[in-house]
Order: sequence, then structure tokens, then C-alpha cells
Amino acid sequence: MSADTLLYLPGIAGHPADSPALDALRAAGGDVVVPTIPGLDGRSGFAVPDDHLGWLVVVWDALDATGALPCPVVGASLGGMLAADLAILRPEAVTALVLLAPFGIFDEANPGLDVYALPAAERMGHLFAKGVPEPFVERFAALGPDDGPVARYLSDVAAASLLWPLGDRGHADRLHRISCPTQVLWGELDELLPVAVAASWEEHGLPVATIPGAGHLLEWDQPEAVATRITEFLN
Amino acid sequence: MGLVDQAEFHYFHFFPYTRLPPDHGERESLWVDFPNSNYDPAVGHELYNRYLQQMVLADSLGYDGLVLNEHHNTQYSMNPAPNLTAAALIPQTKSWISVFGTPPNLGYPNRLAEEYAMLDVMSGGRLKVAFPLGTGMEYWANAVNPATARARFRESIDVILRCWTDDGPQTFAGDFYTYRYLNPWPRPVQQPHPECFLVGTGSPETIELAAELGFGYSVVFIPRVAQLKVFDSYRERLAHHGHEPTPDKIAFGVFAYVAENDDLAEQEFLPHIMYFFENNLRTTARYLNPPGYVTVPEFRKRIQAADVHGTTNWDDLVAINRIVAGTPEKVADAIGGWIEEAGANRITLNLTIGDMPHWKVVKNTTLFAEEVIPRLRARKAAPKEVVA
Repeated sequence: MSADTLLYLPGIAGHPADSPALDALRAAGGDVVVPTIPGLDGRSGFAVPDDHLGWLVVVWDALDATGALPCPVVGASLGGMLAADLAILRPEAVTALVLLAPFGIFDEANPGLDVYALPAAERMGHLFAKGVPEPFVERFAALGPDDGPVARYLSDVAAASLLWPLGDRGHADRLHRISCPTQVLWGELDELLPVAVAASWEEHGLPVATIPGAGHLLEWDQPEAVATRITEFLN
Repeated sequence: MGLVDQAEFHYFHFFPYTRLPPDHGERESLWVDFPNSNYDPAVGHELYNRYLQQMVLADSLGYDGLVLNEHHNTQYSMNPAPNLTAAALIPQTKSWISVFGTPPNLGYPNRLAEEYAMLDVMSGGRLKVAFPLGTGMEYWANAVNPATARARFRESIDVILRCWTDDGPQTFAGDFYTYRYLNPWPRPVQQPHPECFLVGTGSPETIELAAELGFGYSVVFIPRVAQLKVFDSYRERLAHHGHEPTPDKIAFGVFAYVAENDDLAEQEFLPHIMYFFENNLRTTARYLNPPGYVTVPEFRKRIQAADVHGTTNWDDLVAINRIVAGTPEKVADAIGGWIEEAGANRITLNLTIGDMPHWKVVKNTTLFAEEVIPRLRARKAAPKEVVA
């Protein structure tokens, strides 16, 4: 594995394809490894873990299978929540951490949009500030009208099981355990986790920078800006 | 002894909250997020008393049992804790009390086993129980991840059965519920335990579980024709697991109104049953189906199925449900036909529905008891046709 390898954990909508942001990171000279997170890929046959610890075991197995660790880790959305726990619980595995609008802390004053209370067909539109990128539109279309909705449902179930009901898994009580260099980035137009929620992470000594013109999945809305921030931080 | 004349008639009450604000029609859903500021406790007090009186009346008229259910965050039902209502009914009644029921996975199952045992002991062995998974809406209202709903449901039933059938203290090490000393007091009067049902909408998993456990099956909210296939499947699986598929193991619902003539019956019934489907049941697909609540086969079925929650077309309602309004003879004919058609004779009667005023409830409850049930008890053969 390259010394410049970084590992990317995708967000609430899974990983339909490499984003322009990942392409930009690779163009900057690094390798980006994207693990397959069971459940989020929409495949059938995966039993959703009973609890958060069960999920961490599933995710760590997937991360370890890449052979990329220890390395810098970039986690987006629910992937950010998982990446934070990796850095907290396995500090030797994470040399640097970038969190893109991570779940993990619920702010009562800034509850954001309850995405699962939206009709399924409308959810995706609220994840982005600049329209739904084509890879997300097409993600399960190839499976056909019968199996495509099922795959999307299974992916939603996996993500929702990690986040239900508030996306809070007690991170506020353990963020002080993060010991590696860390940068938090947040989209200014995030509907799910309003940018004000970033203050809850900043309170724990984690530096936050905001990205204009970006929604919840900011690396898709502003790929160049996000890639530049990540590259500058890691360098 | 025939199927019809041996039928059991259990009187069901939703305990609806009916004082809705004038602008409630603007709301997409009257469940989950319908603000509880719309609930007036003074009105609730009056309704609780009225509904309890109606249940006591049904008991005094000789219905085989009284049935309660549980829902949360809704005007559909003021029974988020039906065991409390059952406890209030016990000293005033003598018939079966069916709690159909509390989703066992929404709380701690040992606690539910204790409460049901209390009711069984307090009533001298008059309790029947059904375990529902609960609607999808219950998972927005309670602190249970819907993705784990079915696994928790299965395990919670195991806990309850262990509480009732095995001598304590015992240990239980489950995925969700763990006990060092599972040793609940009291234990039920009925041995090995009160008669149990599962509540289902036709999902194969629920049918299989009911059959495996030898439980009855109480069907809700699927079209009548589809129910018949479900019943056949349940009977086949029940026999497969070595349990006799007797007609009383299947419970199905009937909406009925009895009056002096057919026109008057429809005229008096229609506004309230329409109120029930248009208002009490008004919710949305997203609340019905929180992520993980349904299995993949059920998900496939639901994205293709008609939604009866909030349906307003009368013809569709009659086609989907067992609804009849008319003279005692007409109502008896319809119900007798449905019993024969289903091969099942545990009837859950919805004689009070929606915003039906007290006088209509009393009239309908009384006429059904005095004019319809005796007609059905007197029957030995199948009626000529089903009248809907």
C-alpha cells in the first residue's frame, strides 16, 4: 500500500461511484481506497447489526480487508461518524482524520431535516445543494423496476439503522479521545445537519471549516474545494 | 355443531379521540406528528367514561369477549396502555378480555409478561393476548430502531413464554434482552398460559411464527380475498407444525351496523365508517414504512399494494373489508357467509367506529346482540351467498 494512501468512508447514500473529489485527490498524488460497507451497497442477505458496536465490527472488518490502515481517513456523513469512532477506539489505525459533516451528535437547537420522514423519492434531493448527481440517480436503475427499489430500500435500511432516530451515538462523550490531527469540513447549506451543528464538534477541540455552496454530501457539491482542503490539511 | 353457530363474537373498541380541530383536513397524517396540543384531557375524560360504559354494555349483552388494542401518537386510539383499560374493565365484566395487544418489543418483555399475568389472575383466567409487531407508526413514537423490530419481536415473545411456562428463577441471554433472574410474579391462572395470537397483515414470517408457536392468527388490513389465501397458508403451516387448525384459531374483523331497514342502517353508519377511514386511519406511506420495519418480500408487496390508510372510496372499502349495514337478517347473512368463506369463526366486531355518537353505539351494540347473534347461533348450514 502506498504511503500516500487515504481511506474514504462514504455517507448516508452510500458510494455509487468515485466522486470528482476523489478524482481530484488522486490527481494530487495520493491513492484513495473506498471500502465496501455491507448494507450500504444495497445487496440482499446482509443482517443489519443489532447495535452500534455490532456495526463497528462490521465496518472494521471491511476497513481491515482493504489493507490500507494505518493511514489518513476521510469520513463523510455517517461515514464520518464511523471514522471518528475508528480514530477514538483504534488510534493506531488513523494517522490523520477528515470529517465531512459527520453524524454522531444531535443538537436540539438545530435538529435539521428528518430525512426518513420524507417520501423515499424525495430524500435524495435534500442531500445536495446543487441537484442530485447522476451516479446517485442511476445507482440502482440497472437492477430494473423490481429489484432496483429493493436495493435502494436495503441501502436506506442499513444507513437508517446506524442513524435512527437522531443520528446521535454519544460521540460528544468520547471525542476527547481523538489524538490524531483532525479537520472537520461542513457544507454551509447542509439540510440534514445544519452548519450550526459544527460548533458541537468544534467545542471538543476539532477545527471546523465551512464550504460555501455545499449541502450535506459536500464532496459531491463542491468537489474541488473539498479536495483542496483535504490535500492542504494532509500535506 | 357447525362453523357458524359456534362462532365467537368479540366486541372491539378503538377508543378514538374524536374532537379534531377544524383544520385537521389540511394535515397529511393524523398519526406520529399530529400535535398532542390538539388533545383536550377534559374531552378525553368524557370519552374514556363513555367507551368503558360501552364495553360494559357489550359484556352485559353477552358478547363472548371484549377486545382492546394499542397505538401511540394518534387520535386513532386513546389506548397507548391497553392493560390499564383491561384492568378497569375486569371488575365490571365477566366475558373474555382480549388485549390485542401491546407490541412486546416496544418495552421490556418481562414487564409485559408480568402485566398480562396480573390481568389473568385479577380476572380469574379471562385474558386472551395477541402480539402485534405494531404499525410502522409505533416506531416513530417509541425508542426502538425499526431495523431491529422483527428480531426484537421474536426474542421478546421467547422471553414472555419463558416467564409463563418455565419455573424461575432462570437466566435468559438474548441479543436484546438479558436477565440474570427471570422470575416474574405473579404467574397466569391459565396454564400453560392465556390463549395467544399473533396479529398479521399476511407476511409469511408472521404466519410461520404463529404456526410454529401454535398461536392463533388475527388478520388486519389486507383485502378480504387476500385474507383467504393467508388463512389457507396459516392452516397449512399450523398443521405442518403439529397443531390442529381449528376455526377459532383465526380471528378476522367485521364492520357492521344494524337498523330497522337497510336504508336507515346505511344512512346511520356511513358517516362514521367514512370518518374512520378518512380521519382515524389517515397517515402516510413514509410513516407506515420506516426503514427496516418491513422485510424485503413485504416491501415488494407494499410498493404494489393499495393503501387502505386514508382511503376514501366506498366501493374500494367494501371490496377490501368486511363491511355490512342493514337489517339483522342482512347482517347475519353477510357474516355467516364470511365465516363459511373463511373457514374461521373468531369474529372481531367493529360495531362502534369513528365518531359514532353514543346512542348509535348503544343501538347497534344492542341490536347486534339481540337480533344478529341469535340468528347466527341458530344456523347449522352455510348461507346461500355472501352479501357485502
